[in-house]
Amino acid sequence: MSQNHSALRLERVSQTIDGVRLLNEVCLTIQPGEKVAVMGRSGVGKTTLLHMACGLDQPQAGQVWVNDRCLSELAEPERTRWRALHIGLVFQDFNLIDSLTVKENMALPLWLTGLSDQTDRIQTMAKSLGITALLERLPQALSGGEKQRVAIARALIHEPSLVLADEPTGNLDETHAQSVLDLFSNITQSLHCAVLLVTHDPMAAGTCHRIFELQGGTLQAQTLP
Amino acid sequence: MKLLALASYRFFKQHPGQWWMALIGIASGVAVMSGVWLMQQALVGTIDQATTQLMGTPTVRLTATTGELDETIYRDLALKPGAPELYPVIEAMVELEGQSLKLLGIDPMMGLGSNINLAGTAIAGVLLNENQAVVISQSLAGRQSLNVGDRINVSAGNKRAWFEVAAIIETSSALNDYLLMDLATAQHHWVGPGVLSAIDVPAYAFDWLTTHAPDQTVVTSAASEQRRVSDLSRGMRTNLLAMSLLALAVGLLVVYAVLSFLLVQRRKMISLMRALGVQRRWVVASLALEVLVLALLGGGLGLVVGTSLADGLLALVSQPYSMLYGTTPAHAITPTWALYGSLWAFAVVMAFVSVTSVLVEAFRVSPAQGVRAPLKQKSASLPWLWLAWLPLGLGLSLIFIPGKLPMALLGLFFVLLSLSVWLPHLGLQGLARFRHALGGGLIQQSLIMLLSARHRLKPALAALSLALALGAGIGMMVLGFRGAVDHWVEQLLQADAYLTSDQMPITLEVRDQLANDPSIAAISSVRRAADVKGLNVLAYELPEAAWAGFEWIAISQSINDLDGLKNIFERGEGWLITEPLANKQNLEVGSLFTLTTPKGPLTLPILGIYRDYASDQGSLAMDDETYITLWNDPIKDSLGVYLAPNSDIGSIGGVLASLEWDDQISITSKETIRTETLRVFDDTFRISWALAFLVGVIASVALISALLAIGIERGREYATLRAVGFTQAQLRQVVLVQTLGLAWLSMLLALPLSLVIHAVLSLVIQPLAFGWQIAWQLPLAPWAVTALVSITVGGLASLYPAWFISKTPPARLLRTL
Repeated sequence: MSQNHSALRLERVSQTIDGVRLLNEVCLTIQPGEKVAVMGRSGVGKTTLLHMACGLDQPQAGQVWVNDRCLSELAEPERTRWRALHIGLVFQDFNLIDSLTVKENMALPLWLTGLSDQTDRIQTMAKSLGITALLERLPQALSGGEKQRVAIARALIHEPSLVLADEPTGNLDETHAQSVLDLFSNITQSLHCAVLLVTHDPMAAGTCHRIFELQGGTLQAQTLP
Repeated sequence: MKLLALASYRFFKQHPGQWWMALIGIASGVAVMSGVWLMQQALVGTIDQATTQLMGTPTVRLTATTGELDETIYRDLALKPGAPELYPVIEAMVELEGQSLKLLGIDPMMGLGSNINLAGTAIAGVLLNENQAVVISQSLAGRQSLNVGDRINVSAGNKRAWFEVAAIIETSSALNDYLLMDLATAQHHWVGPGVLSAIDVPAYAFDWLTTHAPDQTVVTSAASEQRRVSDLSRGMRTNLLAMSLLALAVGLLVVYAVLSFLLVQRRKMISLMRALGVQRRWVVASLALEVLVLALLGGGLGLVVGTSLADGLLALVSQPYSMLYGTTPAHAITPTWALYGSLWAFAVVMAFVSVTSVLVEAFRVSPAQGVRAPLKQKSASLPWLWLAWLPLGLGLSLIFIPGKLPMALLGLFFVLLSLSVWLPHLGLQGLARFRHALGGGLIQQSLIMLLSARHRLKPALAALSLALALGAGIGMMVLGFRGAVDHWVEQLLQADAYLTSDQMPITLEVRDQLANDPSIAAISSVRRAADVKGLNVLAYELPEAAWAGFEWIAISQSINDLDGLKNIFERGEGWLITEPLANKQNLEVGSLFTLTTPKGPLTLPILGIYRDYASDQGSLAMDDETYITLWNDPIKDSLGVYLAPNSDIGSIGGVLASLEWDDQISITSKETIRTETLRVFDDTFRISWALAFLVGVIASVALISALLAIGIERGREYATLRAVGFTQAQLRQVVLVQTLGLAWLSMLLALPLSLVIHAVLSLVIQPLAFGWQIAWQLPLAPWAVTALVSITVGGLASLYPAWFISKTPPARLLRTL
């Protein structure tokens, strides 16, 4: 791996939605194992930034690089494949597949990355997140905290190099939020994943190496608490 | 892929109601489509099979232009040098216990060409020796529970006779519905002495027969007879084809509505999977797998139901069919496995065709949509909607291509598809505006909630409104046509009563003796015959009052007035023709038409074209004196009696009694004829009513399915309402307002659509298929029925969701739904 290798690199990324310039030549580089938080008021463009980073949306200007591949140069099927291989996603409202059990939700990224045979990972990951007893349950039978732990397990099970988390504790109470954040931090650290965390929560942001505030379409570095 | 299939499987396991609704929706669409198609195939197959098997491909037939062949012709021909084998035949349609059968009289020693040969068999002996003996097929014996020795009573109109089952034989399926008897028995008990229906000869003797055929007879080959029957039944075939197409359109839309609803409901799940890295092609493949499984199961179920349906439809049409075309249709559907396989495959292909846009939509689901909360509902963009005008333009162009019936049917299909895309869009916009007029309150809030699911509603609305419109449109066409026929009959029947006889010939002497009675002011008469080419010929004697019965389409411009036309007609210097004949042969008033009479071709101008719904093949009318001269046939089929002032219909009975004809000549009032005509009409169009009923049932299934699905899907919203303080009664009202609102909307959309269907069927399809124009009528009863059906079904459909939602504790709903 070269010295310049980065997990995520945003180069002068711009995006205007409904006449509002949400991202204005945003630049950001995240190294492997590094955790970066982006904070900001509602509607300022945090989620848009996250969608650019994982290739769900394409920037109107600038480039997004994940694991040294420029996403905008990839055709849609390759971009989807790249996302499945290298990125783990955690959402505020969990977004589990309701018709699959916890175990099957976790198996989904393994199948997508050709690792279907490594089912022992499910047991290991479930054990480390404390959800072993939930594996055969359907998502509708889980509490909010349990759902988010399953979502984290699904995002990390294929050991992606980049994890993008959108308000992962937004739907949890303080106790559950702290517990989930601890688990999330420990596992991403042990897997040496780069993390981009979009959040309102200073507690969540406090677990990161760097913090930025998105304001007026640009990222402004904040001092760590 | 296994996980995606598992996700589909679990989805349906979690939503068994949706699974059954999808299955029932597809099955009902396939059932109607296959039911109509199987019935059509059975009818068409009967025509071709019966004509071929009965006549035998190598057979030529001699018939009389007047319908009844004198037996002396048979004797004369048999004595001529070089005469081939001659097979005298008597054929007549009869009824046995409500079933139409064909009475077939043959010479047992001769048989019927190569198809029935009884010579030397015990059966021939039975037929020859036993008076009133009939032979029937095993199939008929089984259906009517008949055994050898049983007595059967057959009838046709006023005519009745009994026969005894002398033998039961195994026959080909085309002869299943025949009563086989000795020629003499048939003459004695049915057609009268010395009368034959036809003489069949082997095909090699065609030239000999043509050379020796006497005047007033026609020689036809089996092939030409097949063509004639095929032409005769073209209108019926077209009618059934149109119905198959319309059933197909409804079936496709129901399948589309059901499957697109399933997609819309899982759009978030699909986009989430896409966000996680699932490729588009896998999403489409998993949905295609669902469609395949649903289409296979629903198609199979639909074929089972469709077969029973086809049997029921066949029973409905068999009686009018045999009456109209003189052929007994098959009594049950007997499709081959190959036909079933083809229909099943067709159903699966059609299911895929109908969901093409759904699969395209699934292919285009953006991965970003699912991870944004809440998911924005994407509605069809305007450019896409504008594209829906293309099939409308294409459809209208096809409808108005002159003289092309299949194109017109295809055009109607396209027009309906286009309108079923646009109308729900416009209807929902209208409802959105209408809700503002309600001024707030529960009803307005309920409609706002309903409109928030407009993308989900559109396919269901399209299917519902099309199904309701088809029911109403077909109903309006039939009622409009019925009104036109009623008006036509009322105008046509100018005489006070009509006289017919199957006991004695109505000769000129009979006519003159009746006319001499002072209670009778005038007499009209008609004789039905055919020219050498098989064209229907009507010989009219028309007193002054009878001329008011004609409804003129066109009168030659060279004639100043109706009196001029009458004079030329009565001098035998011109023809009158019916509208169907004019349309089928592109004839115009003033042009010359050559009739091939027994005394050679006769060319005369066409004086006028008049409305006639009696024959879709059309007829040519001539003055009776000209006919008698040309055909040498003084017999009348019926007489119209115009009473003198102060006489009543009872006096005709007195006149007949005084002439001792009261037992042999029947008197029929014009009211009875009118009633009988409308009864025949109603029998003929029973199939249309059945189809209207069926699409109504489909509409109900689709409506209930869509409303239930929406109700179940909106469970969380309803639970929220309960949580914020709605009472159970208020919640039930919300559900009821929404379901009734949807039902009303589909009914309102169906109204303009039904007008389009009515107009195209009445003004374009009918003239092209049958050759007659129907005066435009707008019967509104079908609209009232449509409103009643939609509201009743809407109310019923609200019961389950209203009960379920209002009874379940909101906390449980919020958690589980």
